[in-house]
Amino acid sequence: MTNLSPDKLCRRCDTAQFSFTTTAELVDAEYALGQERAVEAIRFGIGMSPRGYNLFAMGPEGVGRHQIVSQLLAERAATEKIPDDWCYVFNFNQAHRPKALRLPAGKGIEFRRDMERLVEDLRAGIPAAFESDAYRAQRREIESELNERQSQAMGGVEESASAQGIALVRTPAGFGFAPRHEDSVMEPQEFLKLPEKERKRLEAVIGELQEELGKVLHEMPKWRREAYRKLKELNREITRTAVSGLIEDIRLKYAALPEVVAYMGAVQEDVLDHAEYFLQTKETEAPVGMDMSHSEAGESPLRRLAVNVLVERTSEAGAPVVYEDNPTHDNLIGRIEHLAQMGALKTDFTLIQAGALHRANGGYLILDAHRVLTQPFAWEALKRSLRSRQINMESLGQALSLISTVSLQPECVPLDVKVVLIGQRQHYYLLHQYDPEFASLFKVLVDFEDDMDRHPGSDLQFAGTMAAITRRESLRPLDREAVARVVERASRLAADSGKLTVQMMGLADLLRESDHWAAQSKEQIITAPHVQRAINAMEERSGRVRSRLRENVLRGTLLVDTSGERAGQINGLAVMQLGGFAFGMANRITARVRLGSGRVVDIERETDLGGPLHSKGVLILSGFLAGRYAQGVPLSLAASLVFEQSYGGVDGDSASSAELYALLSALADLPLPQSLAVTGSVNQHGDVQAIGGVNEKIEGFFDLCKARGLSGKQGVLIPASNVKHLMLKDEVVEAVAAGQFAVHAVSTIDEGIALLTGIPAGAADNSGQFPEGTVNYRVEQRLLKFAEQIRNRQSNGPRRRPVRARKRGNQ
Amino acid sequence: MLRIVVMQQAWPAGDKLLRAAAGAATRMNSELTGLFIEDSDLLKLAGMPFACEVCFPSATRRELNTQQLERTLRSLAEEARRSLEALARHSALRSSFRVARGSLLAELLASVSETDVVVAGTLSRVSSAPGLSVFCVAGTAPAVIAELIDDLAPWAYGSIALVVLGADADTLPAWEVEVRKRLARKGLARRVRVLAPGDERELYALLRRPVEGAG
Repeated sequence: MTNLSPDKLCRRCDTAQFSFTTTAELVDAEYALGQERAVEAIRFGIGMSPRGYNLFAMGPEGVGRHQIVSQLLAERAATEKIPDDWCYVFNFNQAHRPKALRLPAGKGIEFRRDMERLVEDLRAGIPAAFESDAYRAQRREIESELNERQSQAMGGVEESASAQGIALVRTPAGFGFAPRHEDSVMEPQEFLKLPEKERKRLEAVIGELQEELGKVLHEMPKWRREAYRKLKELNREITRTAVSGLIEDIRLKYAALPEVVAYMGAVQEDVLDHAEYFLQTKETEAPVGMDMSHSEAGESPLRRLAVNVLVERTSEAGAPVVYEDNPTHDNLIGRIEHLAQMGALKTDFTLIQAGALHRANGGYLILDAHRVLTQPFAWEALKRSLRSRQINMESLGQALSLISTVSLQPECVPLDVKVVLIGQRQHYYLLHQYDPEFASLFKVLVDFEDDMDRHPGSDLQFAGTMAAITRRESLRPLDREAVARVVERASRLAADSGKLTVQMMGLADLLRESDHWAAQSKEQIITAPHVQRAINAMEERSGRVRSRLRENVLRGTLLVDTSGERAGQINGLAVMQLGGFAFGMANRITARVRLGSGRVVDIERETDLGGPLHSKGVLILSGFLAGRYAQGVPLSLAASLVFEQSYGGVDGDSASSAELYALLSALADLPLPQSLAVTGSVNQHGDVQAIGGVNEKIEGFFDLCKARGLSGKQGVLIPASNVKHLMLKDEVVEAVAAGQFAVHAVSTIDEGIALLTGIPAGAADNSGQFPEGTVNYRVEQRLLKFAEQIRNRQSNGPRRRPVRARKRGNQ
Repeated sequence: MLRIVVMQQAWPAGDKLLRAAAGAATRMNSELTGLFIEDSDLLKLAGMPFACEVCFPSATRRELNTQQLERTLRSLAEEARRSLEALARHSALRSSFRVARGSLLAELLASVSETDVVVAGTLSRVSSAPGLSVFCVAGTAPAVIAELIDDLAPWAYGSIALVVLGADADTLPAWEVEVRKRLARKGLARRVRVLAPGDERELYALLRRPVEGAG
């Protein structure tokens, strides 16, 4: 057992080790302080080209995962080649499957401009070609030929009819034949007056004429098709003269890109087939054989020759590093937008929008794991893309068959990207456990540390980090004392005097707030009081619940004594974590014992208020008792343990030593001083083990004692193995130095109980007997007494039924 | 105010002719009268016991009877009236509509005497291409005729028949020269053939003559 000296309670940062006056004199420290393992993993991951070597960077919030990952990726990306541009163009064979074109970096925009210029040139060149006299003459010839052919055929029928005294009459739906009288049709009455033979003859002639007319009409569509074909061919020839030179120029320019050359070939064929799109025609002048009413590619038929530059790399200097802040399904793989036209939604390839995967293609994509996992279908889309190594742009509506309207199915874009997911550790472990594909797609684990070792030189490194932050954020520099205070705070946040937290976010917040207080003081340098004020203000802002609880204790609502003594009652210490703020508080723990079956009842557990770790701690107590005392007799004890006035859940085993002290006190009937509080877990051998939150616990009890007045007898028992974690606030250290408060480090229950009761614990002799007058002797004697009582009861046999009851039974 | 009559038959491109005529009438600040002619030859045909029509372009045969035909003609006339009224409303054009029964050519010629200009589609019984015929009396201002033909020509195929009534051999050539001169400026002179029939029979004969040089 050790009554800790003040120097053990807080490891100070020695300002003598600093040769600077303020951090303004320091160079920036490396950005990945204490993250050597993570940095090495990132470098390995980005250096591995085989598929599946994507990275999962895990660690707590605020350790600078994003900054470190981004910076390392940026350094690497700057040395890599700029990836290609990607464009979507119209697919002339399958209008609903836009074609993806790959062009060298920066060429996408140029190609789009070339195509825009081509369209402009075609709009001028094609109408000019169609307005030429040569074209008009040839077209008229074809039209005249068709018309004459039709007129001749119909004229032949009319002539034939006329020769036989029959007139050809135009009807609302076609033609009819009737006997002629002079220049007009014979009156029906006159016809009826004709001899029957003549009527029959005329009817027969008309029948034959109808047959003849039918044959002619059957031929007409064929002639029309023939003329149409000739006109189409003529139009193609005329168009070709205007088009081929212009398209050939582009073809030559992009001769090294076979996909573009092939596309230009398709463009040429399409222009030859649809020259009408380029004609500034009036409706009435639409050339025969040209259908102006139809367009597959949208409102303007010329949109089909547009180039949708999906990704262009004109301004980039290396491989892209993309961070997608909102990784929805569509933001990842791109989306197809729609335009409302006449109440309907329409789309075409020009409305395809790139996703983060397109932008990062050929480089790196950084995503927040939690965001990807919480966006519907985003995780599935990301995995599918990584697995297939291509971006298949499929809207959610299509993927889930929610919409059945005709939409686009853009050609897939080959994907070559390294994805870095940044998330919490639990995300990684859950994904690893529940998603069988995860391990094969994210092979590289980047595990960020929570803290770093505090060794000679690390304080100076830390000061360099502060210098970097203050410079980056235009904050005031810190003097040496302020740096020391921040280092000590970092050690306190790490909950270890031998460590420094690497929670850069928290550190930056502290520097910002210290800067604020320096500004309030109208000072140009951040000093230790500014830092301390920032720390105090942070705690004060978050400390409402702590204040209320302490107030309740001080007013006697919550019963916690800090003086006097009582058997079977002790002050345990607990830590409450509310949001980002943790504080300690004392809780009264009581134990009652009586004759029983050897069971220690944990009331917290019985009422479902105790967590599994707490229950485990209590069960260990049974093991301790059974293993140490009265081993020759059955454990005939019934004990109950309770956290008094605890109405929320209790978990953790840090109170198990306090519970054991209370239990031993109750068994030995020895009072325990209420001026001491206890924390520490215990094993079945009675060793006191380390717990978490030791600083908060000590300070919580200290604050309570201080509020009631420090007596000099008050103090805390902590596990000896927690001494290295002590980074207590100045107030506690000063009180200990002044002898007003004590922090005792204990290694065993015997040490603790001796300190608490003032009576030696007592060690068993060779025969297993504890010396009389010791705590352990008293405990064992009590247990033996219980055992004896049990044995006496059992030897008296089963209890006889009450006579009255038997008599009633005989009636 | 110039008065234009437009023949509204259910023939090829009849609606286009109506729209072109309405456009011309609006530009020329004229009154437009729609004329639907119930062809007497057609009615006679329908009265025959063997009456039958060969539909275009399907070449299917369908029986005809007077009752059904009259119903069809009434329906077509009503449709023509509504089309004219809709166009007139849209263009703020003064318009009227009438139905006549008789021989097509005779009714057209009769209309010329009651108005300034009559516009009709093709007068050929055998042509399926949209054609144009313009009827006027001798002495109608050449500028008016040239302007009207210029307005209507774009939608018509082939030659344009300009039928002049009441012309005498002395004044007609000079009038025709004047009209052609104006049409030549618009590149239409070669498409127009001027016909000056004395009556319906003569017009019928002239129309049956092959066209020379027009196209």
